[in-house]
Amino acid sequence: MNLICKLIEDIKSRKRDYLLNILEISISITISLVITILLMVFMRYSVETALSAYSILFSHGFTNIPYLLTRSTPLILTALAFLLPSLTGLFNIGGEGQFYLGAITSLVIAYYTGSAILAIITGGLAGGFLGLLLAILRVYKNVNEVVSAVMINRALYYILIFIISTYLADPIIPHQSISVPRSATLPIMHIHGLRVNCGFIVALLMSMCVAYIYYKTNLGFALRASGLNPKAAALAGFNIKRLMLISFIIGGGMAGMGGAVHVLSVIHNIDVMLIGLYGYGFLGIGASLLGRNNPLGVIFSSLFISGLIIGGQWIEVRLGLPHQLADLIVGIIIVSLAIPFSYHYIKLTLKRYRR
Amino acid sequence: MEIRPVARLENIVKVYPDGVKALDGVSLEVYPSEILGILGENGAGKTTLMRIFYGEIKPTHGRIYINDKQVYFNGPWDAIRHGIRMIYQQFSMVETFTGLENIHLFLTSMEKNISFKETEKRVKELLKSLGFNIPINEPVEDLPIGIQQKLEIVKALVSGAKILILDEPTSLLNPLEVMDLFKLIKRLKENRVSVIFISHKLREVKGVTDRVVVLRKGKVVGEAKTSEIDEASLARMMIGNEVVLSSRRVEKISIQGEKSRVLILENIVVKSDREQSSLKDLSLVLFKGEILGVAGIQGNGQIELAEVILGLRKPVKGRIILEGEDITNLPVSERLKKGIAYIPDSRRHGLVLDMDILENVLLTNHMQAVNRFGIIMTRTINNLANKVIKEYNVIASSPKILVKHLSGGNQQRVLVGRELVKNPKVLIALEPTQGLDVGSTHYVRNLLINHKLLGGSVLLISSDLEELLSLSDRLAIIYCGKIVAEGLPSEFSIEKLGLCMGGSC
Repeated sequence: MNLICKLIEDIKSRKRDYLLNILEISISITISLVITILLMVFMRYSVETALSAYSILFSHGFTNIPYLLTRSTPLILTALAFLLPSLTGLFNIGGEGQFYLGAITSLVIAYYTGSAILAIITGGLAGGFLGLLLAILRVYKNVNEVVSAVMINRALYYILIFIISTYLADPIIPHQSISVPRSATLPIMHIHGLRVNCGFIVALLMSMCVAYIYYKTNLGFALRASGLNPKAAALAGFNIKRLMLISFIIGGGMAGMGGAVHVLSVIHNIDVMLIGLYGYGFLGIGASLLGRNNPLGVIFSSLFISGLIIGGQWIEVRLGLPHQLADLIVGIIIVSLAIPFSYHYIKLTLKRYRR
Repeated sequence: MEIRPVARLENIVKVYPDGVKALDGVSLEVYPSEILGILGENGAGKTTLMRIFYGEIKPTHGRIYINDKQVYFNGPWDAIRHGIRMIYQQFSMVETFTGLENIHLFLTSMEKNISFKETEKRVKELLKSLGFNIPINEPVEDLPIGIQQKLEIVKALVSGAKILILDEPTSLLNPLEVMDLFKLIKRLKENRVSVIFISHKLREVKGVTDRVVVLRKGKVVGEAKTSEIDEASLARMMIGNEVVLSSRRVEKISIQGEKSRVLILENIVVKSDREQSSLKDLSLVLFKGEILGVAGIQGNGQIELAEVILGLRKPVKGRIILEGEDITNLPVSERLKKGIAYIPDSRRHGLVLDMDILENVLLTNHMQAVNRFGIIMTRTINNLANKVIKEYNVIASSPKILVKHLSGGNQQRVLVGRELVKNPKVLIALEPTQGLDVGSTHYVRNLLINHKLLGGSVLLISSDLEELLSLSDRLAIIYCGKIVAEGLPSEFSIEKLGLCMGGSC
């Protein structure tokens, strides 16, 4: 009770900032929906089709709750993978690669030990290791983390295909890997009659953990401070380089855990083209940006984006429109999220120019 | 025959948008082939004046004449067209290009069709006539800084410079390079180029210039032939007589015993990217319950001194001893725990503007407000933040207000308050009242005195002489990374202060 009171007080004292955030997000969603309609009209679809596409998108996308939760699970974790380093001022584009590495590591561990918990932990460690590698390159060798991450993502994609098709191929179905044994799959829980995948619980716990670390511990405080003002953080005795490494380890760990959870609860094996894994890391970046880099906001943004994607599949079934429409909407939302930033930027340059 | 000036600045006034009057009716004449020194403290308006002359900023009032014709500069390119070149402390060259390529690059901006061969020919001829040899075919980044500077000068000359402005040209150089530069400057004079030499170093101005103009607070306070004036009177002009002598206290400090030495710096050597601000064998003692003022012109090693005590910079040589304990190799966080506190010179460096007051207080007090599991103790930090707000008169309705929404004076109170609230043994205050209004300045100064009376020690590093003279128990003067004089404030006359700060004592 006390906690909730405090939370409300906290929200009240920052009401303006929170309202501003919500306003920005709703504006960008509206802009994106409008632009998408215009594009559809431009592509010679009638306005009625476009509007019914939206009604299907939102009615079908958000009605199948168990599917929505399952679908958003890896997204929440990869969003956290982007969010943590970005709060310290770094870009972790490597979420995709960390997701792959976590997935394959947990698959192997689950296959040989049959323990789900061990598989999740090792998956997280593998992702964290990859994150650490990127951070070391950045901090000690001054290699831009975006460039190295993009290249490592690409390399990992093919290395994984190689490993799966040569060492881990299923002897009966050769185009996919061996499967997670039944004992290591994550169970489905029934909460008030709602089927909830255990993986979603893990994702929820993780985002709460991250929120706690960020707002209640010294480590999180140091990470935030060094992201906002490195000089001030250094004067306060924080070791900026170490903080960068830590943020990448935790971030990578989240993406790795996302991969692990996805394999253990949904796909159970990895196909040779990695279709079951592809894209979650990149989509996580969008989810993190839409969640305004808030560890709890990420949950909602991931649910929203997953809903759009599910709805996109229904549009294809019902109206024959391309399901990429949903990707288009997500993309425009993220671009238009930058509009407030550009507004600040324009205001600043105008000010400078007047001087 | 009367010599006409090549350039004349008439009654230049510059008021910045924030209301600061940087220049207040400055007139200046530049004669052909003379070396004109412009001398002044920080904020005297030297740089503003030269930036107006170079067309970078526009004057609020005033006229500029070149060869008796009035000109209007819309930007540096207009000034360049009239043969004016400015050489900054940061050089404007592509580091991976060779010197010759850089010169060619600059020339093509003026003469579109010039060939590389033509550039090379001109540069070689110029070097021959100057009698200087510079490796023009090596990448600029491989050259020592003195050579880079000469390249800049050559670049300016090749493109037809008539007036050359050098902004604090010696601050980057070591003494040998300075000698070389002066030789070059004197050669330029023979080649009928006028040189404007901006500096605060008395000896250099005395040594190289023909005529000197002294600026103070945006006004010309003196002008003289260099040969007819001595360093002491230059110093007096630069500092001025307005520094209130009555504010000095004559109280004698009781003889300090061995025990009451709080902080000792022994032969500290720190390398900085600028030669002038590298600390060279600096020793300093701070006693308990005193304010030690460090005077000096900005960029003479003040920031380095503060940061080496805090631990942000590692000394190449030397020891730092806090209460009998060697802390030379401790990281910043350990030193903070041991009772060193630091007020940085800029609020942007010390405060996280996008965080609230509470979090900014936590920033430097995290050792006290965090339990051994690394979890922030909400109640402790809340109390601390409220204490800072109440005791140091921060005007804010709640500690949850973002710092960027506070006024400058209030931000400074947070910055100072959060350090004083932990009652540090050693407080390093770097320009603690810079940019504050009168009320806040007075308030912050009183806080420092209070802290001293409570038994703390303050190292007050400032370029505001009035502040130093009215607050310090002892005064040390830093010049080029060395303490050149130390003593009671009453032992320093205005003249001596000026001489020491200009490096001539």
